[in-house]
Amino acid sequence: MTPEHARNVTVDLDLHGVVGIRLVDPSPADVTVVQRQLALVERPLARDPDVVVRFVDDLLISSLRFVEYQKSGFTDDGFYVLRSGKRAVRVRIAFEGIGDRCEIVCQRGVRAVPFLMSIVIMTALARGCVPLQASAFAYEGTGVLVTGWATGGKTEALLAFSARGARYIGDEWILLTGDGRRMYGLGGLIPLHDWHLRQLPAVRSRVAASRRMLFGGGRGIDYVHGVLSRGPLGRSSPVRMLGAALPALRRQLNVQMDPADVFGSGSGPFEGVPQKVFLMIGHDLRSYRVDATEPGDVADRMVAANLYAQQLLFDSYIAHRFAFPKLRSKLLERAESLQLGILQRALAGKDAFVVRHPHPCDLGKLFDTMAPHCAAPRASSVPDAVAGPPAAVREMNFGIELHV
Amino acid sequence: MLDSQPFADQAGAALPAPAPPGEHRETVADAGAPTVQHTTVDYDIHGVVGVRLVDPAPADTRFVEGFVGRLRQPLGRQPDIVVRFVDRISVRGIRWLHVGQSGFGRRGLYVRCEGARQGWTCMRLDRAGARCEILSEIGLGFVPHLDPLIRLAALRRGFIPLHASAFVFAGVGVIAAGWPHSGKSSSLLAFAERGASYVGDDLVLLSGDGRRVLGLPRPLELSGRQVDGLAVARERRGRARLVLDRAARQLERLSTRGLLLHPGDSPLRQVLGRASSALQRRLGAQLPLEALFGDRVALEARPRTVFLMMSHAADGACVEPGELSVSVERLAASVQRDIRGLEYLYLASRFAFPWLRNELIENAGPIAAGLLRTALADKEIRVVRHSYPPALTDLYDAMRPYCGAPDGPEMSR
Repeated sequence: MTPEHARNVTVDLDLHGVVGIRLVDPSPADVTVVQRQLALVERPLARDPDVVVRFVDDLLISSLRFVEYQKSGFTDDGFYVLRSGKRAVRVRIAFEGIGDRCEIVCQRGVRAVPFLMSIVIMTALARGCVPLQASAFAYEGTGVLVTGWATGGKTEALLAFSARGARYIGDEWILLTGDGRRMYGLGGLIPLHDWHLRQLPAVRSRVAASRRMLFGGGRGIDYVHGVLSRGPLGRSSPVRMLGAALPALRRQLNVQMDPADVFGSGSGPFEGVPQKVFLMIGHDLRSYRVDATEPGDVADRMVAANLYAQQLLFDSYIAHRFAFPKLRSKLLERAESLQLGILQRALAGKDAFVVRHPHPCDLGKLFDTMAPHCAAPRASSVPDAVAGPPAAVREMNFGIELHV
Repeated sequence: MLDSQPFADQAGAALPAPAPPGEHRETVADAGAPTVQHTTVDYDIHGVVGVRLVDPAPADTRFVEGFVGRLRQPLGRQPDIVVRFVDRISVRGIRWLHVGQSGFGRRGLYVRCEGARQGWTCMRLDRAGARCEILSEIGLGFVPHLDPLIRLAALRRGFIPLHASAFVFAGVGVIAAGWPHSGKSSSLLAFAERGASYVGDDLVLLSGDGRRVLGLPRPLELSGRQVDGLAVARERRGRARLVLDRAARQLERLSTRGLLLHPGDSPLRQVLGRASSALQRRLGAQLPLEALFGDRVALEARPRTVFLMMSHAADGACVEPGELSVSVERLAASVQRDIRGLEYLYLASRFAFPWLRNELIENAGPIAAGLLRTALADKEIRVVRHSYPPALTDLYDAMRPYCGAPDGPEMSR
């Protein structure tokens, strides 16, 4: 690391004018790390930043007290995150400032700034935008927002439409403005699994040969395990251990693709007008079906899914409360009701559907199921009154009668 | 319009297994099903929380007993948690949350669990804490979220479920609370060797009026390091294990101390650190309470001193006064942390069934804080800071003056 690269350097990133991020004294590698995390390019801010990430060579911590040993701790100066994934890190995060001006101090050379995406999207919430676990695309001029639980089939819907001329808006996190008129993509790469690629030959040809071989190896292990477990050694512990490790292995077997490689020339700008809302639910049946639902119902469910996706941030916030009981974050404590309010307003009046599909699913059939509902937006999508409790939806609950 | 495929659960269809001695049979009316004789095993946690197992296999009772301890005793009241064991739970037609691992359906949330074997469990969370029913495939040897469900049920009965150890030393009831790896159990061991009576470890219940602290009579879970520091535990362990133990400690020293002069996240250090903690877990041991406490197992005490334990990145141990309002908030955060696993599941439940809400889960932190304000009002609160891993003698020397020992400093009331 050369000493001259990083003194009084600032790099600004702007998330669609909603959240401003300033990096102070980063090394070029640090800038790359943050840009990859947020999928944003440098753009000078004409306003004060909302999130400041300060990079230092050595973050000295004196008289550290642990909250959770070697995971988090605090000093008189602030709260420290000491582990990110399986990696030991030293990062000071001012949780109480999230939504106002949050300062993060970390050592140069981190592989990822912990909680950066979470902090950015919570800041967006404070600015009246609601983050959604979703993917989004524009298909034949219609803006489509696809939400669901973590592995509900959002990416699958995106891929299904990608092969049929849709324009990419975003995957993973989508930012929805409070008036429901705009949606912005957040985050860069699309995680593709082996079974996705097999259905997308055009994309598959762009995957490096080495990755394709890895996928082949993964299928090979699957096959070997299948044969072994049916054989006389099927109950032996090595075979069972292999079987237990396979789901984790399969999860590892994905390739992070640039949207441009998946969508060809049809990608960017990463924003659009949300007109149709789909809630994806995978089921253990072979059928594909779509049902109309109330947007308010989608809002209720997605607030829970959002909070679930943010659980690590909230875990750390609880540790922060242990460290500094008097430094509360009003934003994090009100996050749920804030999200629900904005989301209900933003989604009101939109056409909302529940899609049920098998997993893994046939992308062509998924497209055939969803496409008829993506056409011809309503004449005007001026929000009506906020939808009340969707009684009809409750009774149906996607075909589930819950015994109360 | 709706799916025709039913969720075919087999609840109540299974014939009860013959009852081993110590279990009793009683007739439980199954909603909608013909009346069948069921084997029930009840556990009564000091009249505060009641757990009932219906038709369990030995692996299932072993798991629960390993958790709540030897508190098997017929409940003279409605249980707070009922675990009903059936041969098979069908998840045909399930709506997935995490494919193959969890989902939702007619009876609520379905979660795949692994204990002695893998299998499905099913529950609804709207009544968690009140009368919560879990349906489980038999013989998994694992009940999901039993710990947070017990904590929640205690909270509903006005008891604060603390992550703490509790003991009586020189006639004084002591609670040592803190986060995992904060030195709670080590302080219990330090005082145990010097004549303290056992009240509880890991999960203790403090009554809302602050007059009673209750513990569970379950074996102590010791880390390899703790075994090494305790004469009683060392004797129970073979020489070969001891050598391994020493090796593990050397490994830990290498990975945590500055010997390698590497920054905190050097790959070598990380590998050493991971290897060392894996080895430590392997070397952990269960120690029956009697081995350490003899007949000094009280399970209940009137607490006077509350220590808030935390480790620091410095040598030695020190004790500072703890402020009431700060300690209340810290322990409330800790209570909330302990039920986080259940909160995650609750978020899944809210996604699946948005109209099924649970006030108790949503407000556990504030409820605990409210109870703690009263319960801690008349307590001596001290913050103990110590190096990690803590030396038992350091902890004892630092804490003893506040535990009512005759030669301790005069305490202000």
